[in-house]
Amino acid sequence: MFFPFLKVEAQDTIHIYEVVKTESLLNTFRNSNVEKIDSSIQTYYQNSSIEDVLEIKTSAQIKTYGGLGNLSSISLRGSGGNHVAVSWNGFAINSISAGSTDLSLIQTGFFEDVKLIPGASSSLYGNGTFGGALELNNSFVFKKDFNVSIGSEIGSFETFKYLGQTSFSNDILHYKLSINNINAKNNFPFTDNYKFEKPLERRKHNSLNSLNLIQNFILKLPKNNIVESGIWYLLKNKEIPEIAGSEYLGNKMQKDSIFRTYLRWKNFGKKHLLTASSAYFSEYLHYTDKLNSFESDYYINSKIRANVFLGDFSYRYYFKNRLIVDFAGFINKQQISTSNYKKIKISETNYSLIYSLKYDFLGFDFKFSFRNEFFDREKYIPLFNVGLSKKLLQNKVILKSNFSNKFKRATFNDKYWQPGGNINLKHEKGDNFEISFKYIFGKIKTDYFNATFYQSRINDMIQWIPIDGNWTAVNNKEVRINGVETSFEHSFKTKLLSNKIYLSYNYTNALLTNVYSVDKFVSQKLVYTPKNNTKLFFVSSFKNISLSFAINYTDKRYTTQINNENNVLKSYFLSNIYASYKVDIKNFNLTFKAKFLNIFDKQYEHIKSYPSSGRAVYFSIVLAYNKK
Amino acid sequence: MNNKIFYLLIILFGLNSCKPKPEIEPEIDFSKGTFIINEGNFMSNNGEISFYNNETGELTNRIYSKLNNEAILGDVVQSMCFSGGFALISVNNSKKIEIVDAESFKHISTISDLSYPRYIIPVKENICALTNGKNPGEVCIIDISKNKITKTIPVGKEPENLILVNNKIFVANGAWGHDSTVTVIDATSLEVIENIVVGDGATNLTLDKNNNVWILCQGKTKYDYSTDTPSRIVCINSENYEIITEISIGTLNDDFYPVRIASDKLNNYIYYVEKSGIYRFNINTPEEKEWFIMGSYYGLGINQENGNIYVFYDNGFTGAGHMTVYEKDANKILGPVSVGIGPNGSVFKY
Repeated sequence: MFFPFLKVEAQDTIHIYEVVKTESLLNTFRNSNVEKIDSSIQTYYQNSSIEDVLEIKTSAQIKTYGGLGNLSSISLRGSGGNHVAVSWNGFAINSISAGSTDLSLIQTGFFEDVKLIPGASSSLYGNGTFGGALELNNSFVFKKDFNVSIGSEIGSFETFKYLGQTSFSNDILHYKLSINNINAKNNFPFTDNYKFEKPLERRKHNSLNSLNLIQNFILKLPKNNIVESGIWYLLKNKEIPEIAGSEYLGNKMQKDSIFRTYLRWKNFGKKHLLTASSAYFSEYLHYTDKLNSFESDYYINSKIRANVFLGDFSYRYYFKNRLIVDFAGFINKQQISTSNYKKIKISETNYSLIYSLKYDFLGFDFKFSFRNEFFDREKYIPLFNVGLSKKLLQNKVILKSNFSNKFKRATFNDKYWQPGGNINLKHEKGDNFEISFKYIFGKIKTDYFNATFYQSRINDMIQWIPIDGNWTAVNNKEVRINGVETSFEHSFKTKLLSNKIYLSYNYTNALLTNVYSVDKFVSQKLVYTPKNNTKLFFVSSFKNISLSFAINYTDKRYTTQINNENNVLKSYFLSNIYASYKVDIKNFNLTFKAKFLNIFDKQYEHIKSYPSSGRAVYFSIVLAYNKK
Repeated sequence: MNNKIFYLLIILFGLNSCKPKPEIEPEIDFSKGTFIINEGNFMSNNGEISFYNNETGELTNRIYSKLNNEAILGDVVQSMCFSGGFALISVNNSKKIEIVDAESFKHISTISDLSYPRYIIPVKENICALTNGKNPGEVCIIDISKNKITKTIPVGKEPENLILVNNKIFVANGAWGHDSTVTVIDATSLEVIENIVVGDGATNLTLDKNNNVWILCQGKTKYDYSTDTPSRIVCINSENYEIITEISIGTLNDDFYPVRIASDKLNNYIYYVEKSGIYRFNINTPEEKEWFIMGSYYGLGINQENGNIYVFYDNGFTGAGHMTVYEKDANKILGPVSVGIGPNGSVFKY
């Protein structure tokens, strides 16, 4: 039997090496709810960037500039893209220049464990978690196994994708390598609502060419030592289209080149876990524009080169399994070279110390973490998180509450960009309180109903506004967000079929409560934040055949800070259908997959003036070899 | 369970069936009044034109959308002019000129193939001149009857405003200090007849009642104070191109680079926008600058019939901008009233 979603549940129960004792800091002390991407949907997006799958089956809102490979950011609980901390195996990967993470650069199939944590605490995750956090993790299994798979996908708008993966593991090591290549013309048809006769046009100057590679290696050494390393390399060339309504083809180009690597060492015993790791990230972005394609000179020729050095250590002690304490330290050195800043080369170093505690008493699970964040030129910022949870009715009901304060540093662009960067910016500060109720009604943990109520504040929010004709970064806004996140998941069987349904509804009321300079902004809704959002995902499997569909409803979104019905993006429904068929031949298996996206050909936009693609079809085939 | 899913889908799709009713088309007399150019927020396709009837005091925003079945005008509406029975609207980041009927404001046609359209003026019946491009810049001659660009004339780098004086087109070259010249084009032969060096960052120009041209030079900036040059206003004779006078304005290294200048021919004043507000001087005593209205303004326009001064506040480009109208003695007679997003100036129809 081939049930993609059941595969994940099986993975969850696999005993990864000394799971409890070597669990990460985040997994041990996090109290917020976690939304996991399971393989029932992930399998169709192995060769796609992560925003596609997040949009279908999490509470995240995605803001993309339309079409494959264009800039894409995540929004949680009404926050901006730079209010979600994105990490790879525990290392923050948000851009140090802009603060956000371009999700179009992240391939879904490269990560076995993708977690979304709405409301994640700053004391654990660090900078910029007003919305929450996104964890991209590679998981490791120490058992004899050898896998090779190759696959390709062909689809609408001249899209060609290729993926190769291999992994090898035994009792002491695990190695995995994934490579993918994407070529797409991205020339989808769309109705240009910004032109007078609203003509049907094709997106032009929108092609993508990318190469991604990731490899992970983990080795068990004698005396409970483990060494882990990873390399992630990415190269992307993207034509940047003009906005809709433009009568011009455009000549904008963007080239991204990213290299990330890390090394981690762990030593564990019956009572302790000692961890030390270091990482080096290098990012290069080259953006060009010229007014005519035949010209040799660029009128915009922007290069940004960023280097990040990370180091951390952590010591944890287990007191009779009821009390766990952890002490951790982080160092983060960031350098940027660009002619866009007043000084060509800028460097900053941040340090932080984290004290964490987890204590089980009287059936309550109490989690506390405290972080001191130190900066080059400033005093430290104390950050804390207090969480309490209780299981009731034979663990069928879980009640949770959590309170944390938060902060976000001004980004390098906010501080140093010329013109308009403001070195005197204050950090954004705020807090988050949430309570949640979870009812597990089935025999397995994935049969549940969950409801989370939250309230967040952001003060001194940074905004770019024109002052004396120059766009300038200022601490300008106060924001209050409250909302509800509900989700329901249920697996059930009929005579022939195994089925699973996921349904979520999110209500977000995000208001600007004050803007320091213009009083008319008071009580205006945050831009690009839908009040209501609903997602439905259903999968049904029969033997080796699987059929799924997904529906996403997104409410209207205002696009100007003084809300105006003339400047809204309309609500939309998106409907997708997925199908797969797998054939097993001894140690080989062959999987055929089909994706029918936006089947009703809905014309919609995430960002005003940037149309997303209409109906699209993708077919893929994957040949895999496995030897245990 | 399957039935439940079916009902759920019905409800979800039903939510999408509520559509707003279209707005009723207004009846507006465009024969006389003030057209306000609202750039809109960059990359948001929400530029628009507002119309203010000076006699009735009626202000109508979004006239292009309202009179064209909610069509979108475009991104960064830069300038507008009238020629023949038409109005031509330059939409910078949509890289186009929209042509509408001057009386009804109904859409007629679109001119494309422009890389960076900026300012547009009428040259003669059905013929307009438009600055376009950056390096090199050019002036495009548009023949409305043919609905196309009939000639392009190379000028300086980053040309901005242009003005017609005695059958000659004066073009200010040099936004952000990338040039320092005024190109003079014969409006009949459409050939360049003169290049005049006036000062760093020539961006805007206006005409006084003596037919002298006053050029606003914003100065040079590379966001490096050591290489910045001061903002100036230079007056040249439109016949022999000699510099008559020049004055320094603003403060060097104050991060403000002025771009608005306008003339009150009736009362012999030149107005310009500086960091702290609107300034003016009499054309006979240009050194005696007067701080006319305090504030932070983005746009400026002068009604040549009565000398009233229209000033525009951008309101951070995130909501409606404001228009305020003053008499020449700084007596406020209107406003502030809300117009579109990012108003940069006005065009008067007398």
